[in-house]
Amino acid sequence: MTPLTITITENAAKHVRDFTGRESEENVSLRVGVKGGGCSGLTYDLSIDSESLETDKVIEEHGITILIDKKSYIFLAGTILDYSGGLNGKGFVFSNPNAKTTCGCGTSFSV
Amino acid sequence: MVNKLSTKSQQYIFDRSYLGIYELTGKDSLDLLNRLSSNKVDDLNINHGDSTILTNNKGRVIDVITLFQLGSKTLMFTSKNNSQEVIDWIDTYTFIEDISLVNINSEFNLITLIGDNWTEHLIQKPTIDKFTCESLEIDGSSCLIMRTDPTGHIGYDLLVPANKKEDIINSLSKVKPNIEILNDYQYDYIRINEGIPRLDREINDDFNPWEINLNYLINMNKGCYIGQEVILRLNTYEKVQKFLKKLSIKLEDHKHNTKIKFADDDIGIITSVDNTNKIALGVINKKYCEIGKTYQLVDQNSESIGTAEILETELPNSIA
Repeated sequence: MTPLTITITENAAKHVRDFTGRESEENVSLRVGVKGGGCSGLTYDLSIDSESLETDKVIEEHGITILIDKKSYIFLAGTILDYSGGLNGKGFVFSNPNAKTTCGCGTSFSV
Repeated sequence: MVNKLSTKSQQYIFDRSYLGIYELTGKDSLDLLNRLSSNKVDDLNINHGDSTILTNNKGRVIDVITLFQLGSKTLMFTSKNNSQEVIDWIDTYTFIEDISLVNINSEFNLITLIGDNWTEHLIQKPTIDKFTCESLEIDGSSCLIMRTDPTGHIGYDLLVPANKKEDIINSLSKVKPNIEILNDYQYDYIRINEGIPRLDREINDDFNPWEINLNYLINMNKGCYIGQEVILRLNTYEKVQKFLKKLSIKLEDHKHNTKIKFADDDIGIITSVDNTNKIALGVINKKYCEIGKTYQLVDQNSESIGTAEILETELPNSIA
């Protein structure tokens, strides 16, 4: 069963913090969402956002406050946000159990 | 009956108020539609427009929509009886975007003007560029004239207040003698004779954009949109297997989805037939698309019911 939460790994949290230039004791808010588009229909969207909406799902982990709008949450429940620094390319990686297909370049998915 | 469209000597009026008319506001409107469709529409200048294909992730067509950017808002036109599907599709892919879509069919109607000389009468200009628009006043009513060439010839769509439509049509019909007001059958006759695809006939889940002459609405250089991977792969690997053709037919009794046959093989399907049963549009396997070739038409029981000859015609880049 898909867990009804979104998880950020310690490594991904570190890179979010590095990206914002914040010290480890400061809280960082990260908006995680889904956008229409990409070959398969849905793409992931990450942005630094200090303002949460009333309807946002809010999750705190490893000093990162993750904000997810209600509609995106339906497509993201159970997702693990990691950071890959491997030879195949650096960047944030979404492991989304809801994604049934992804496009060739891996940036979009369908459910 | 309109036998041959003469846009130099003749002008036509057709009421296309059946198209879905929407007003889009919000800073993300064009960006969202650009992500959902095949043509580049996120950089439309003010008073400019374009058509674009909404496709699903299998590259099939949801609808062909036309947009006009008016500054603080954008107008969107959908095909006949397809508004709800388009709105539901856009809504599915709207997350936190700033976009609002309002149906304005009760406030505004759309009158299509076909012919070369309309702008001389209405805005004292020889013409305006395709996919540009201008505001004007007709009998005291504020209107918008948009050049869209819906029949492949010079043509305009006139957005008019709904409660003034009849008065404006009446007024336009008197601009000069011999202006013809077309009915649905006449307009569809013109569409088929000009070789223009229409929703439910050619534009449906059976065909991809390449197969029904919508390739001019596919931008090969824009970023990702839904269905892009499938659509571009079809072209890159030359996988498009059939094409829309204009046909001269001999057919006693037309039934929809008449098959086109060569020897024992089904090689295509008739998608539209004009009301004289003489001209048709059909989608035919590319191996059999040679101009001048004649094939058998058969019904669902494979009984021969007529013939179809492929005509030498380059189909226009238009959407009816």
